[in-house]
Amino acid sequence: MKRKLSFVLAMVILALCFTGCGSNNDVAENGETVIYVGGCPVKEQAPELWEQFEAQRLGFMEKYPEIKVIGDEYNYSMDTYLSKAAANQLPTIYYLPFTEVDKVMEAGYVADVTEYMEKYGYMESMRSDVLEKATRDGKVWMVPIKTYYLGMTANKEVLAQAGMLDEDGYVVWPKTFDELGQMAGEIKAKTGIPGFVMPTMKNVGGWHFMNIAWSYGATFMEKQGEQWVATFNSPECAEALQFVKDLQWKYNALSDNLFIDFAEGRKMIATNQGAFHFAVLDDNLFKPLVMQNGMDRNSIAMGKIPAGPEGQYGLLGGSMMAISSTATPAQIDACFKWLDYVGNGPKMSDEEKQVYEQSILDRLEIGMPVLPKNCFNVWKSGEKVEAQDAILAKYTDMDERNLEDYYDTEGMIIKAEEPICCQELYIILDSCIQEVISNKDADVNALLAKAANDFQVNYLDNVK
Amino acid sequence: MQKSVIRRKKLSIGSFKLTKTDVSGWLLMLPFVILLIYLYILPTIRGVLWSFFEMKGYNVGEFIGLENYRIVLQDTSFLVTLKNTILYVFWSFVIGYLPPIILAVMLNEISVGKSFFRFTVYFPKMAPAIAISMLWYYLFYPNESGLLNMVLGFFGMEPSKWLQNSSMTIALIQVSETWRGMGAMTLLYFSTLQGINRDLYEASMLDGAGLWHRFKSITLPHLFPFMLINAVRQVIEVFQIMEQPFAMTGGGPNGASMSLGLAGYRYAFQFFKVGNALALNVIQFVMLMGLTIIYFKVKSKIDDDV
Repeated sequence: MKRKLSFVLAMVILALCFTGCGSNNDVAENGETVIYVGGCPVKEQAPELWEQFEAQRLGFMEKYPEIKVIGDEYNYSMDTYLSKAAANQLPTIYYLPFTEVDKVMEAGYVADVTEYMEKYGYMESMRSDVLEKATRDGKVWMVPIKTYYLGMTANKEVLAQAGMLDEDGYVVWPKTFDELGQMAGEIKAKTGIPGFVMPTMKNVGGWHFMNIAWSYGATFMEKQGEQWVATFNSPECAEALQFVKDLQWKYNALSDNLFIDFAEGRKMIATNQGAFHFAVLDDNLFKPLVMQNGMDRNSIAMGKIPAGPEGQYGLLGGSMMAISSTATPAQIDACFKWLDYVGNGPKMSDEEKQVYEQSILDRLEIGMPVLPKNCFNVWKSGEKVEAQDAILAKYTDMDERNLEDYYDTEGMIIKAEEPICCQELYIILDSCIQEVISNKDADVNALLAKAANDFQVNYLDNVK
Repeated sequence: MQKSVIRRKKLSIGSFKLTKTDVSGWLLMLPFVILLIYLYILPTIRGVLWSFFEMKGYNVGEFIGLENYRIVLQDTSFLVTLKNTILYVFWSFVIGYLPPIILAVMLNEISVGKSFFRFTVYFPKMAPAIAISMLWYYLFYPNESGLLNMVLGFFGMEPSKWLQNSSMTIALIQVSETWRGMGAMTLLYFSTLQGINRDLYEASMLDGAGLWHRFKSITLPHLFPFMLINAVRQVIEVFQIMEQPFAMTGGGPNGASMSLGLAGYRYAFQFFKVGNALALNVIQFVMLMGLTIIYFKVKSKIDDDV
């Protein structure tokens, strides 16, 4: 009896252990094509968003009865991506930021979608510089859906406290880095609030620093024959790093807290603990500022990053939809139908206009700001952009004058990330930034010499 | 009679003999043995093997011999990171080794409110991680509004930069780690102390022994085996430290709090260089294996002595 009980217990535990193992890429159930769509809101956490997603899902399945859509809560995160991919547990289609595109493509976890990009009209309608970000060796591996460039946000309440708004109550944007340093220092002197929020951690410092360095004329790498060579141990890059050092030691414009990552930077702006900060004009800004910290949407102003001696730069960013490399052709096709249906495709039929308009109404319902118009679209200007802009203009709840400087991209150089080893480069630059901010005697030239050597030896020399 | 019954029911596989009672025990252990093999032993073996291959994500590419090891060992920050990791271990002993013992002895000595103090000691382990990170954030905040700087200010001292001072970063991370982990260790020491025969204390008190003498002659000899084992366990655990520097400093300032565990995390999850991460983990594994062997030798010596 005891032995039988042991056996039964053993089998039950084993069965429990292996319950739940399975794939997220079931091909068909009763002849249906099943796709798992990532980024589905969590019902318990955001019931309104979940209902909106559910309405889209049901509407889509009504239009395409042969396709079954299942919402998957997965959103890309560095910590979980590889494990999910290795276990074949990624959704069929999911969001991915531009910064992660190279790594994911190199790892082979995304499908070649060239054929479908042609079939659904993306190739002819999409801006070539955006399409290029998703293309390797002549093949397109992802579907860009949103794009932006890195600009500078300002908290108008803090600027008002410092008496630095113009007579109409709008931000007077600094045109050069020297002006930015002076303004930021003055804000801190008058209010005690950091005039500029400089991130230093988790790759974000390096990511932001690229824009400053490019403006000073720095380059980071170049290909010499077959070999990539680090080129940022240069007077131009030293000037850019010196500016960051000056923000702390000359202008006294920064926070006393050295360790600022992406979330902390946004929190500081949202809670009136910072005046200027590099950011993009999209939901990555609105969610932490307006939704999580209750900042007034019309206290947010957005402009360009100031110009350096060699121009005014903004780093190209955005998000793409990745389709799992294990998806079947039928699933990939279904994913493109889904993208069209939810308004991410190149067309703008009456039905798609309705879906887009509904999505804007949904945003208003949950309190998410609606922009006055598209700023930087993945599409070449045309019917789709005009139709979207007309809907945005109808429902916007933001003061366009606060965003004018960002919308005006004339003279801007919008530049894509460096071609390889970006995350590795950002981490190395994070360290340089930490050192110049925390150490008054830091030798900028010596730091860059070491950083360039580290980047060369540890990463570029190992690129095949 | 009993012996002969058992002998008759023995199952022999080579020199390995199982009795009926053994079978029942093994059967009960089977799921855990399978899970142990599936979740720990196989991934470890696979990890070691894959460290010799070019990895694309978790897809195995071509055999590249020791290339991943070359990349990791030639990394210009490897030695600094190794030194930092050893410093973590060093500071964990300086700061964190004695407090649980002292607290356990104190808990053992008090007679009123024992349950309350036991709960209080264990509380940091139960507090939500977010609350704890906020607490340390405000404690170490590097200006006059930081809680520790307020204390310094009260005594007329200048505010400290705390975690931003690279010579203090590792030690301060260990302070927070000690605070968080101390409760569990205290309870383990406390349970060891509870096992000491109270008659010994009473007899020594009748002989006129004071607190220190009782501690030196009775408590310490009983605690010593556990202290020794715990020392080895602490080395192994702290050698793998990753979450704390990741959350508190990101390995900064300028790499001052970078650990081998965090470097492995960066290779795998930030750079997607799984092969390099595995090679680094194997190097760490070999070092820890050496320490584990020492651990078992110490443990078996103690078991023999006991």
